[in-house]
Parts: sequence; structure tokens; C-alpha cells
Amino acid sequence: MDQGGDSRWKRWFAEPGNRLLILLIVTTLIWVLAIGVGWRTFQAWRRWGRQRPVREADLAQLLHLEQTVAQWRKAVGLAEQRCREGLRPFEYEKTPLLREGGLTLVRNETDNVRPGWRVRRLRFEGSDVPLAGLSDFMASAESAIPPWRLVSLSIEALDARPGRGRVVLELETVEKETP
Amino acid sequence: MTPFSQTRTADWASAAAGVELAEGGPRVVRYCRRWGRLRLVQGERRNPAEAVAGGMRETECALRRIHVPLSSRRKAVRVWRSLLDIELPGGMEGKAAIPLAIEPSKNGWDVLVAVADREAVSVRLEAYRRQGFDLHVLDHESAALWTQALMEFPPEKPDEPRVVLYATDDRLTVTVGVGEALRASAGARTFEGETIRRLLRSVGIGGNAEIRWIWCGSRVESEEEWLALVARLAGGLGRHDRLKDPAAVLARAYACRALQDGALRCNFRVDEWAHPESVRQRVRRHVRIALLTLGAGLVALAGFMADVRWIEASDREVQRAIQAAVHTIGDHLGLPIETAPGYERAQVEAVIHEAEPRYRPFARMTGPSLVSALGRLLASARRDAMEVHRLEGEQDRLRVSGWAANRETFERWIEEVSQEDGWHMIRKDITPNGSGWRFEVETVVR
Repeated sequence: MDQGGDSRWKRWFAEPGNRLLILLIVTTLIWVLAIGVGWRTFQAWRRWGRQRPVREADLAQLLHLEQTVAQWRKAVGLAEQRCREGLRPFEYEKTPLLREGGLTLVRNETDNVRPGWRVRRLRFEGSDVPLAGLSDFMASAESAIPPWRLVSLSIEALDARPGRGRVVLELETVEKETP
Repeated sequence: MTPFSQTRTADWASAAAGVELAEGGPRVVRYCRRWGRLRLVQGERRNPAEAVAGGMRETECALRRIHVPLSSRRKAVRVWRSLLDIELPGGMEGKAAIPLAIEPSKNGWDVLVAVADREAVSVRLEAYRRQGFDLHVLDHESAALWTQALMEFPPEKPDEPRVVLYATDDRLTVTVGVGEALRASAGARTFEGETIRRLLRSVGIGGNAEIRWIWCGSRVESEEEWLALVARLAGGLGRHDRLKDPAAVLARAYACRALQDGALRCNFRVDEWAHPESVRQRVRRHVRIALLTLGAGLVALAGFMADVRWIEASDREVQRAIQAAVHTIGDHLGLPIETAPGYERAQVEAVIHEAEPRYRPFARMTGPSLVSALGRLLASARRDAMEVHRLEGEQDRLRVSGWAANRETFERWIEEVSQEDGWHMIRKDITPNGSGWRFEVETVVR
């Protein structure tokens, strides 16, 4: 029985028309598959065209942020190194502007920013300050170890007294906490 | 061959031998097809892959014009066979009918059909076989004569009445039409002018119409005999032309029609009468086309799949770079950052925004000094005799107001600080004031 069935299939397959039929079915299936995959490709291209610029912009921004954060870390490392090299504090109370120039310390505050580190901020104000002394004052602040940086300032020349003015300065530094 | 198709009768072959059984022996003309053009093949050597084409004589078959009184062409194509079955004596039983042309007519469509008895077809095939020709194509003589005459002597006017005469020693075939349209045909044993005139009358061509007569057949091979036949056509007004190599016209026509697409193509060897080799060759051709289509499908499939994979790989690459940047930022900040795909930027920005106050003082310590920038600003102002009245600054913003003796000095000063210190001016006001100019600028210190 099996042999009879087998030979029937063989006969059926031996017909050129039937072989062509099988080929046509396979071809149709391949094309259906190709059209399906083609549609998926088309959708992928569309999605890619839409999302790719957004993702690339995200990546560019993240790389920029990575650089920024790397600079921050480098800055922390530099601060550590400076502290190891030795301290030279900013002795503002000894500067001429504070002693006799009318500039006074109005705020002295500290804030913990990172474990083992604190930010120290000083605010100086004066309503009749000799402006020529400001550069020396700032130079001694910046040359201290760790250095002080100018965070904000307001300088207004007094019309009535040439060379003098109203001054507000805010300085900031980062200090290592000592146990 | 599908009905009314203009496909060549041996669409599977690239070479064909046209054979006409003449009194003196078979006449064979061979053509081959290269790049869609036909070339006459010289020599007697038979190509085993060529199609062999012969034809039914006019007296062994008939041309019937069936009028289908329907306006739809599609319906006319479907019903003409039933109408022919009614019109033919004895119906379609034992007959082969090949539709040649369909054209619009008054109140419907006219279908031109070549009809032959199956028995006559068998007899004709046997006659060819006896001469050593196993025909793949059995064409219709009149249709072949008509298309060959059209090819060699195209009509000069679309409504030109034309008569194609094929004359041999033992028979005459007459084909009549207008322009390119074949109207009727008839056969006779002898050359009779009356047969021709009757045929002309049957298709509505009057006795004094200007007719184009096209002659062929072995009987018009010599000029004298041809002119004698022309003279015998009493009232044969019009222009007379003779096809080249007139004795081989039919063989030429069968071969050309086997290889070249065109009107009125006919092959009685179809369906159960089809030559096994034709069927085999046609299947082989279809297999070749199917294989090519399959190959194209596989190439398209592979291309599309590769494309999708490339897009996905490209997406993964960008995603990997984003993840690497996120991890590096997390490492620098000393905290792990968990992000959802597509939201990395916003989530990292939020983390950095939160961390910024803890790092900003460190960054400021290593960044450019605002004091030295201010020093340069004031020095250049002093050099240009400008007065600075007010200075205000916070973070990286600086507002400066003062007085300048002239506008050019002020503009030069602005340009200098912009170029040398890289300051970006976001506001610049200057107004005349007494003998000079009062200015106010706001800048971002980089």
C-alpha cells in the first residue's frame, strides 16, 4: 500500500506542470515573506528616520554632560592636590581695605557640599571705599591657597567723591574639613 | 495562446522553421530571434530547438465573423463561442475555433474566428508528418498571408481596400480587408475573377474602388505570368504589388508569426492538440521565469532582512554609546544612575542638576578668574579714556555702565573684549549724553 502511495506521489511529482506548481507556491511564499519583511523594513526606516536625530542629539548632550562632570571631578582632584601642597589662608582682616578702607565683612558662612569638604562664603560691603585698593584686595584673595573666587560684585562710583564708591563683594572658596 | 492574444505562436522558441507543402515539395524558411529582432537563417541545417510552423489551407478551414450584440467587450469575449456554436452547422462538436480579433461594430462587437474540423487538422498534421515535419504550430493560411502582406507592404491609408492573392498552379487563396483589418477570405481551385469579385462584394467593396492588390505564390514568380494574371482581373483597378520571393511567402509568414508578436496570431495545436514538445518547452520557460522570480524574491528578502539588521545594529550602537555615557557620568559622580531607554537624557540632566551645587564651587576654583577679566576690562577702558560708573556681576553675568567720549571708542572697546576675552554681549545700549555717550552693556563672561 505504502509503495503504491509512494509511487503515486512520485508520478505526481514527475509531471512538469506539478513541479511548476510547487515552484510557484514556493515563489509566492517567498514573495509574501519578502513583502512582509519589506514592510517591516519600511516601518523600521521610518522609525529610524524619526528617532535617529533625537537619539543622536541625546548622545551629543550626554557626551557634553560627561565632559562637564569630568571637569568637575578634575576640579575636585585639583582642590585635593592644592590642599596637600599646603595652605596659605586669605587674611582679609589684615588688608588695608578692611583695616581703614571702609570695607566690612557682613557675612561669613559655610556649607557642606561633599563629604569632607565645605564651601565658605564671605560678603563684604562698603559705602565709601577707595576703588584703587580693590585690585590688591582681590589679588590677595585669589593668590591664597585654596584660592578665593569672586562670585558676585556690585561697584558704583560716587559722583561726589572721585575714586571712591559703593562696593559689595561676595567671595567663595572650598576648604577641606579638618577632623 | 490566450484568446485575442497577440503573442507569437511559438512563444517558447527563439528559432522557427516555416514550412509550406507545395506541389514541388516542401518550402522551408528559417528565422531566428535575437534581441527581439528576426534574422533570416541561411542553410538547410535544422536547429533541434527550433519550432516548426505550418498552416491549414484556406479550403481546409474557415474564417467566421461572429457579431455579438453586447456593448461590453468582456461579455462579448465570454459569449462568442456560444454564438458560434449556434451559427455553425453541427455546432462546435469536433471543431477547433481560435479567436483572432475582436473589434467594435454597430450594436456590439465583431469577433473574427478561425475554425477548422479536428479531422482536417489531423489530416493536415499527418500530411506534414509524411514529409518529415512534426509541426509545433499549425497556423491559418489566410491570416498568415494577410499579416505578411501588412508587414511587407503596410497600408498607405487607414481605409485602404486591400486584396492579397496567393496563386499557385493548383489553387488560389484570396484575402480581403480594409487597412489593417482582415474582413474575409476564400479559396478556389483555379484562378477565377468571379471568386474575387464575389468576395469583394461580400465585404462591401464596390467595383470601381481603388484597391491595393498584393500578389504572391509560385504562379507569380515570373513577371510575365504575373502581368498575365493581372490582365485577367477584369476591372482590377488600383495598384498592383508583388511580394518579394513570392513562392516562399507562406513559409516566411509562418516562421515570422511563430517568433514575432502581432495581430491575428493563430495556432490550431492548442489544448489537447498541443505538441508535447511545445508543452514541455512552455513549462520549461515558465519554470525559468518562476526561478528568476524566486531568485529575485530571495534577493529582496535577503536585502530587506539585512536592512532591518543594519538599522537594529545602528540603533544598538547608539544605545550602547548612550549607556556608556550614562555609566561614565555615574562613575564621575560616584552614584549609579538608573535610566529607562529613551529617557536617559532627561534623567541624567535631573541627576546633574541636583549634583551641580556640590561641584560648582570646585569648578569655579579651576575656571577662569572673573577678577583678571575685570582687570583687563578696566585697563582697556582707562586706555581709551572711558569712564566706568557701575559694575555688577553674578555668576557669569556682568553689567557695565559708564561714559565714552565718542561712539567709535566704545564700539572698539566692545569688539576688543568680545574677541580677546570671548565675552558674549547680550545687551548693548548707547545714548548721547552731553559731549559724549552714556553706555550700558550686559555680557556673559565665558
